[in-house]
Amino acid sequence: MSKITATDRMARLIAAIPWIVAQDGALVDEISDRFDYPRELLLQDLQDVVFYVGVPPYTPDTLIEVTIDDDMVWISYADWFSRPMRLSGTEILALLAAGETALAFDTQDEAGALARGLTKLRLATGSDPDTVDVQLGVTSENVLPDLRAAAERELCIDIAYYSFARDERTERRIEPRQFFMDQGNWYVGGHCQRAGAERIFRVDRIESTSRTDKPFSRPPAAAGSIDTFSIESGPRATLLMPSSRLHLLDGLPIDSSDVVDDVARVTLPVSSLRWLERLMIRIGPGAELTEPTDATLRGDASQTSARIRARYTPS
Amino acid sequence: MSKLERLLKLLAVLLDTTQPLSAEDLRQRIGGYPDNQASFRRTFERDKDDLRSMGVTIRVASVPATEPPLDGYIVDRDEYAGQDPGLEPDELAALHLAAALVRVDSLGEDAFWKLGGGGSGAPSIAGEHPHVGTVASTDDAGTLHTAIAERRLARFRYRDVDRELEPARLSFTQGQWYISGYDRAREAERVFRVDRIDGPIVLGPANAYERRSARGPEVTRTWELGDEEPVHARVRIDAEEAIWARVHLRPEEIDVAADGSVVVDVQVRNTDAFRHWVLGFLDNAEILEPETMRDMMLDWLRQMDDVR
Repeated sequence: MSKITATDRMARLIAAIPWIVAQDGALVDEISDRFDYPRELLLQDLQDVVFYVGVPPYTPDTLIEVTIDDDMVWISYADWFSRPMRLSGTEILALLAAGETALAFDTQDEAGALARGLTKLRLATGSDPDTVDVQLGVTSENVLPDLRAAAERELCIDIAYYSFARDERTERRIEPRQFFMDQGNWYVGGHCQRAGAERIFRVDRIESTSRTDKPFSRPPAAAGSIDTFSIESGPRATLLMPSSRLHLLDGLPIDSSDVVDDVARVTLPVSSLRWLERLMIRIGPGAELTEPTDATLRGDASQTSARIRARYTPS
Repeated sequence: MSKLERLLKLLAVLLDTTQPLSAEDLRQRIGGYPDNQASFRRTFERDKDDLRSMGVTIRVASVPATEPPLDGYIVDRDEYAGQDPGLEPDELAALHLAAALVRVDSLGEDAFWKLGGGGSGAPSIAGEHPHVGTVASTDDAGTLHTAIAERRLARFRYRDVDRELEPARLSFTQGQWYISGYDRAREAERVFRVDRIDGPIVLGPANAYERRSARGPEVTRTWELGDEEPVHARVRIDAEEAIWARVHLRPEEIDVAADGSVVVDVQVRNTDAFRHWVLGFLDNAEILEPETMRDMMLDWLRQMDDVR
């Protein structure tokens, strides 16, 4: 860190000073480490700057007292900086969201340090679970812990999985290795014995799990082999729709979208015909598929709509 | 005098004073500002901006006994400092590790400095290391958090209507922040998606309302997020899809039939969102009541066929 501005140093000092006061003396190296403050610069700022900070009339009793002895620093009379700055609302939410997410992921922590830390943070910032609520879409409470446990022991696990894209329900034996979260949803990746390949599953679409004592059949896949949803290549559809309904596409990967006179032309990757049909029916009147021009697809979509209508028509 | 020294002195004096101090007063007390009046003003304005960008709230009020009134500046100590959560080293380290695992756009090391620093040997939050996920966070959600904690009314525009909300709860779900509370303009509980709020959120004074006991609607139940008169609707969902109905519904809203299919009873305030939810089940679901909702669905499907 060669370029460290006056405000960068200020932000560190007004956080470090109350901490040093509360410790009743601290090691220079530890202060430097905790507050990401280069050692030489820290010593220089403490001796040449902080030492002269105070309020009028700048007599010794109104100045901060800094004592440096070998590797230790003591600070006193820093009344104005005796407490650290308040966390902003944005920082509090970010800490809670990160903490709660990690808590759901880390099955080892239960009532451990993270849970205690989050509770204290909630108490100090007026953020009890009734006022700030972080929910991670998980269908069944033990699905994620079961997957985590299987991954740690390198044991296969059976899952009942519902593929929203294909609209089908399957039983699979998977070798869970990799977990990640995106857009508020947990995903698990690993070898799927049914597919005979690496696959990614959305955790909230796993209806149930059943543990096995079968060890993983293969070593970890090469890095990067399951890092995408394979949306880079694959079929595309282009459709016209009222721009007022574009919010229905929130969260979907979209290649392009142009709006002319309240009509949007959108191109997006399509994982299956079933998925596209569902999307078209939800967008509703005004949705028109321009590509692919495949006649079977058009036929399928109107059949879906006819099937739903049939439920409403007495036979 | 270095800029760092000047900024530290300015903050110390603003925290120390019990009444607002004018720019000239601050200049005298701190020293080290340029002699030239114009460059003093520029430097002083920049210093205030720097403090504000660090998150310091500088209040502006008239200096007592000045005529015409002169702008004065002060920092309230309780507003400046928060309540220290008193984290033990292992708790702080666990939180720091969580922030490294789950990346949040708006979260930097400076938040941890306020809690006592990152701790020895902790991985940097922003560093290049594996992380399991990311969470979006916005300043608007942060503003609403302040509103809840301090019971301030929040005024903003949403779906072309001006709202006056008693904010009660922030929820993070499905990758989005939602705010719920009592909308004084509509005289009812409402939920809003924070990223769809139009324009700025303006907060009123603190302690402006008493907390209501009700938790408000659940945000994943999108059919409740609307301004329509509530209508009771019943939907039959086939056995194979029944598990997905349970995700969003409370047990008392679900009746299970012998064949495993379920009939759910919900209150609808947003017909569009309700139709969207029901259509997600394709032909595995059917609206049973009321007749108007059945007609709405049939119209929707017929219009689609007409287009083709």
